[in-house]
Amino acid sequence: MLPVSKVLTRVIVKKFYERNAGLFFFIFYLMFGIVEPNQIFGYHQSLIYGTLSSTVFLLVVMGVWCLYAIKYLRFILVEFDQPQNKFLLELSKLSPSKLFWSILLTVTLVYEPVLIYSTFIVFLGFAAHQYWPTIAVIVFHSTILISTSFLLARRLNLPHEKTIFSFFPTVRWPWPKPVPIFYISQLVNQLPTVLFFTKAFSVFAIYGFMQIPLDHYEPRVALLGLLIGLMSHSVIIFELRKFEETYLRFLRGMPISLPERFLKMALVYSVLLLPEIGMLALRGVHILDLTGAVIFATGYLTLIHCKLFQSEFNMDKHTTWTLGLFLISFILVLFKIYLIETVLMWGLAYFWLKRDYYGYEVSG
Amino acid sequence: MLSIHKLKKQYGSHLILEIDQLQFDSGLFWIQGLNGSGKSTLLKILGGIIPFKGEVQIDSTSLKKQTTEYRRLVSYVEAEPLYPPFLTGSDLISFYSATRKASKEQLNQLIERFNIQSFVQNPIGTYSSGMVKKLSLVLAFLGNPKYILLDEPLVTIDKDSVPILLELVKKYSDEGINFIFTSHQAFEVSGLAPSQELEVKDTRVCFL
Repeated sequence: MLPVSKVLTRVIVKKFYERNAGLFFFIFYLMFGIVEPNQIFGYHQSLIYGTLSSTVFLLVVMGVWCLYAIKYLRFILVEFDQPQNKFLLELSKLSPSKLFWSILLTVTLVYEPVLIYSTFIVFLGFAAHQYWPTIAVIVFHSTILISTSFLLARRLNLPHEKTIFSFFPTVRWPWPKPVPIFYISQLVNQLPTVLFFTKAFSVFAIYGFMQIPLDHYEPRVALLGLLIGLMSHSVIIFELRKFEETYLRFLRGMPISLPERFLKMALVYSVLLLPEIGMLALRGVHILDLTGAVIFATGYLTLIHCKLFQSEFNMDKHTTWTLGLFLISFILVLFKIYLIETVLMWGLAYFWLKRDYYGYEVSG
Repeated sequence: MLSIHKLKKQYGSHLILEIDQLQFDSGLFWIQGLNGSGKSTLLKILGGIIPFKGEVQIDSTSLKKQTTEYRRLVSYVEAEPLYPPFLTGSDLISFYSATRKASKEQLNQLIERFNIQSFVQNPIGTYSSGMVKKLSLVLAFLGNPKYILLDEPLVTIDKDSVPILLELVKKYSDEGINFIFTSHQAFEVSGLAPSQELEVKDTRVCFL
């Protein structure tokens, strides 16, 4: 291993696994601990065949991998910004190819759990002549590894660049800005890359699900696609909470009632969901189902935001919680109990806001 | 009258403030104390920014029970305020004016008095710390609060702006608005009763 890779492994990879040991243990238990030892092989073989033979499940699995990629990407970017890791900026003096390969190796090491399991998927996929989904898995992982390595290498080369890509022009709002615009502006001006990838992933998830051929109209397919997209918003919600704690502390001292604060927050997320709403409408989702989906999705994102009104909020806990909510929602949508879930999510979101908004103070 | 009853503030096991009873009637109140004594924490509590144990009221309006009404009665400015860098001063002034129901006339007067017309349309990210402070002071005076809470108002503003601030304090005091501020120097406002001095020491606050 090159000296550079050794340093990156010690600073990034080791810390990543230490920090997430609990999560890995939990996932390992879920995957291997709940099945009888003599049935493990058969269980995973069925799971892998099921994944490869169903586009829906393959997309769900890819959504989870994507969340994992966002998690490690976020972790590494935060580590790059830590004062004790500023020496890593020296790596930008390496040749571009050397830097890229060193980072690719680092990223591959943190992505290793996914890659190990995927090796079995690929092996079984080819053995079962499921060529296209197997190739899709290989392409998916290659894209994840290369794109995240590229983003990280670019961050080391341009540490002061606020935005990695300028996909969006700077937008100037010509009228007095209401509070929801503060949040939207933060995403558009400061986090355009995150916003772009989240929205693109979310819209394509809906599109992908709606491609599934069915002999009758089934709104749950749209909702499952939407759910995958909603899960990918976890980084955006976390960033908006950080933004609130850094730049919008003054809002807490303003004479704004809790219902008004709640509605403004929900408005932020309903505006953010416009691309998904557009995609659902374009794919022929009935107006009543579309309305229901919008209320469901806005409540879902608002609930996650309200959960973060805590003294200590960190990305690891947040991702675990988001994943949990996704899994519960997935089951509830499958069993057609999403109307009850919608009511519960809105109620719980307001309850948390009322209970916690004036009662927490971020530590540190 | 702003009154504090059985207030307690601690971070973990570290007690910062413990005030059994304290009342601010009317006028100017100058809170002194060493660095880290809890002056800013006290103002943040009174401004409704951070949680605490106990009760704070303005007349019969409780900070904890009538959260919105109480916040209409106070205006708080941090020592080193942070605002979203992509917003303009104008954006924030419009937002504050609408929320605190300030008149257009008051707004224009304050912009003119603090002489911020030249940069108020620019994004806050381009401001110096002094410009941000001036903007925050304009925001503090907007609306009709009963108490204006200023944390180190004289820090970072240029010497030309100090008399403007003092003049505004006098004008607003004459109109019945009360001020509580922390500062390492006294407010010497001619024509105004001298400020009442308090000290934060060993978690307690007492009048000197």
